Amino acid sequence: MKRYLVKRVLLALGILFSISLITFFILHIMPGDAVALMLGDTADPNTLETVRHNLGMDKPFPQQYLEWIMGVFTGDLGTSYFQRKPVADLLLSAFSYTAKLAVVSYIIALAVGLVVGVVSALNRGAILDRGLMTLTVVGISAPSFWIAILLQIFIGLRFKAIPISGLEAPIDYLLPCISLGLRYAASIARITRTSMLEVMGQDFIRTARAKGLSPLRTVLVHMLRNALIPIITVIGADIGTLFAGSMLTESVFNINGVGKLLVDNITKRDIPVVQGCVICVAIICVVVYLIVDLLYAVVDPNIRLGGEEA
Amino acid sequence: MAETILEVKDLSITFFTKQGALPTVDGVSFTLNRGETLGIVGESGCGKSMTVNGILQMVPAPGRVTGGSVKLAGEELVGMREKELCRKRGSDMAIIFQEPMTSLNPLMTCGRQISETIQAHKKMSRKEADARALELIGMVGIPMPEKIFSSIPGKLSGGQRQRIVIAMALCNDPGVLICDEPTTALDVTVQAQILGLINELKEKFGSAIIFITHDLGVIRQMADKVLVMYVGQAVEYVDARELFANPLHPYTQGLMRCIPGMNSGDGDLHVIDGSVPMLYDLPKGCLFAPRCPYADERCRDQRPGLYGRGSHRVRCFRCEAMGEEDVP
Repeated sequence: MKRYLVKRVLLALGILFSISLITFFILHIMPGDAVALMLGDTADPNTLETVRHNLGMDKPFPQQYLEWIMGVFTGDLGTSYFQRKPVADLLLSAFSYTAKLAVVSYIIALAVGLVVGVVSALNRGAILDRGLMTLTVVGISAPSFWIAILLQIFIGLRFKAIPISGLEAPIDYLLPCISLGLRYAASIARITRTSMLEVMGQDFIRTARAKGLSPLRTVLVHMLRNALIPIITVIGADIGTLFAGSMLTESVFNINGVGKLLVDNITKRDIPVVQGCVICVAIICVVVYLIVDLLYAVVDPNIRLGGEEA
Repeated sequence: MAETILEVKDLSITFFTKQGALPTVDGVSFTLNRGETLGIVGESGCGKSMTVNGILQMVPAPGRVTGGSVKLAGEELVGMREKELCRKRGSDMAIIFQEPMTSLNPLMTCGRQISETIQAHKKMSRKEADARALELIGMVGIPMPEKIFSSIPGKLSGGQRQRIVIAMALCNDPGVLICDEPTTALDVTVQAQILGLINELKEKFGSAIIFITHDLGVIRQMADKVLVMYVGQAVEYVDARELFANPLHPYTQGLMRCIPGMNSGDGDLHVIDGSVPMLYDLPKGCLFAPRCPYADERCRDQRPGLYGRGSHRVRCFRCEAMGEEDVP
């Protein structure tokens, strides 16, 4: 277990290092640059050169990367070209919004998805099951930004109490969380249903019934727990797209999160900020995947981590 | 006269499928007294397991109990509310399934699976229930009960798992213990141990047992009474000793001859010709007529009733002379 953990953490560090290198390289070869955007088309070439030099953009690529990565280890992610603020500070304030939005959306989606999946499975083939499953298809296929805009038009504009931008008061969460979470609720519901159906047909469920356990206990303790492994896999895979989805949602609802920060600064070619955002998202994904892998072992003692003798 | 604990009368189970309504169990009747063992024997698919599903009121869809009555200690189970049934299952009647490898929850410790069964029926703290579970694990003859208690089923052998299932079935002192081919999936040596264990625990717990098997050898070792089933019907119902001494139904006779070493024949193994008819294509007359060496016109045309004298019932026209048609 300990060896496995060490191996996984080292692997995670390797992945983060590669991602940073690739992003840095792509941003470096990307056409257009911040200075030109900053000073406008009519700027004097000498001025451009000076500004580039001051920002350290004329240094060779390896040197730039090395300086950046050394900075990362000391907690310095560079300075924004435009806002002249440390990237770490920008990220910190943006991250609190993204985290709140993502976590709240996903927890609600998880709760709704599990309930819908279990109810559907228990009513297999009935009208309720078919209705819910049709809804999940809609939920999965509809793009979140489209849902977001529909929600703004049909709910936000009609009910003045429900705001369509920002993320401060609890009520602000309503529409962004629905638009971001719907997809996940739908996919969790579907995998929960499938997984539950598979478990329901197994012998030990018949045993649980024959033991005289209450239906609730049979469903929660015997069925759902055994159905959890595929669900956890889906949850793990969702986390990556959750951040991608949150970029659009943040843009539509004007929430100052990491996604919006990233999108805004890609158009401005503010490389340090973009680099910081990507690394931030990468760290979250890597950590979540690690947690998911460890969760498998917690849920199912039959899984032995890293092929060790348990 | 011994006290009757389970009385099954005209139990019928029908499966409603695309091929029509299939009579999986057709008017089966028997009584079980306290401390007695009833063996139910028959080929695969003859409705043995479905009969016990009917007793537990756990017939899977699209099947349904379509008639008859099941009285457990005088209480009618057919039509009983599910909530009431939950109270009976695992407590007044318990079952040991055929497949020890899959009938335990793979994610729950063996001890907990037993103690949760106790807690479902008795007001007992987790600690007390766990202690009782540990005691039961010791009682079913597993070495190092403490270790097994906290193991998940995946770490146990088939025989050990079946012992856990037995401990689980007995944890609430059930009046009726149903054993649905409990040893079919096990090695022969383990099989003998498990049969011995069931007999030993029967004495200790005083449960009546319904023992389902397709193995007449096992029946001889375990049963006081035997019900022979063929395509959902009881074809012979009699004391075990009488059955082996004097089998009357041609099907039972055929089964006896199929056991190696049971007949003093020339060493050739006997086979009953033909195969079990499909439920959607049953013969018009006696269900066994197409395979029966004694079948005549009447057998192919009419269904025989259960005829009998005393406690020996046989579904065969050849035994009609024994007495009036009468349901035991």
